[in-house]
Amino acid sequence: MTEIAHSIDLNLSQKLRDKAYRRKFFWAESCAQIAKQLIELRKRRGLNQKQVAEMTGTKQPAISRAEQADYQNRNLNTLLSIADVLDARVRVLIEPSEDILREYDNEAAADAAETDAAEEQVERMFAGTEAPSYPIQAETEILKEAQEIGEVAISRSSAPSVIGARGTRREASFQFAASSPGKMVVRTNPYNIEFSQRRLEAENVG
Amino acid sequence: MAYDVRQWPSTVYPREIDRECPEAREAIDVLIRNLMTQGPAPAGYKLKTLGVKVGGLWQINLKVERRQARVLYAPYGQIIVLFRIHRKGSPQEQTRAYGLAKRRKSEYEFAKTQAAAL
Repeated sequence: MTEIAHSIDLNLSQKLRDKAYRRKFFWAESCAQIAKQLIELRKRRGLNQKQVAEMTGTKQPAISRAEQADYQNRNLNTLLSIADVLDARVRVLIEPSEDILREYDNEAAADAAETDAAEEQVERMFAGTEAPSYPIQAETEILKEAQEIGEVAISRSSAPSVIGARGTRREASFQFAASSPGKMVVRTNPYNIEFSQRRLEAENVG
Repeated sequence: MAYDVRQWPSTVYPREIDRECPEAREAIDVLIRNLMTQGPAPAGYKLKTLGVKVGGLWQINLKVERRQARVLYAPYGQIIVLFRIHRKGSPQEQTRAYGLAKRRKSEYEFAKTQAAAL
């Protein structure tokens, strides 16, 4: 079924070019990652926050805070002592922003390429220059059936329009009007290509 | 990404953040990425599933620069839909925010049902 909720474009590869933004983003990202790792490790050791607090000589709320994604005042000694009692090491990786920006740029480019390929495939399919392939194949049966019925003249009513801007959540939608009460909507996105059939059942068409 | 994070209506992101809690913009972007990778209950976030009275919404509170931003959403399988992002304010404001998010959720579910029926 076609998803009707609107896509979200984080546009991180652009936003991260702004130093003030990336400073806060990296900070928030690091905090969330530390929290996630602490929770995973504690659970892996089968301990609760109170037990870890006793082992480190602190109180449970201190462990709770350290495990919060939005807690931004952690100190390295606390982290080292938690890692120590949980029998783990702390490895610090400091990455220059230009390397991270490149990563996000590559991610955005890969998403965009995937989207473009999907859009082109649909274009070629409707231009008749390419036989539909999976995952479109099964769904194209709807289109074929509709054409076989004969009373449904499927024509392109609008050009593909890009709804979102960035690759990961970009979508293009194609709309086809039918002479009968039917209407066919085709949507593409980087992950799959979905077709939905609107009241194209035989009784409506007939 | 394992989950598809979306919004209903299209004015939630980034407009509501810019209008109500611009200081939390980066933290919310990180949260959205974590929702995309970890799903509706990302580790380390203060998550609360609200009761039936509030339409079964999920809520995450974020404390940024001594202010609290609140994200109201709901998961639908692999899709997570954001309904409201606002700054935590007075009880009256919170009630209004819940009401709005609940209404948006109902609208979305109704539109989804309609689209499926067509």
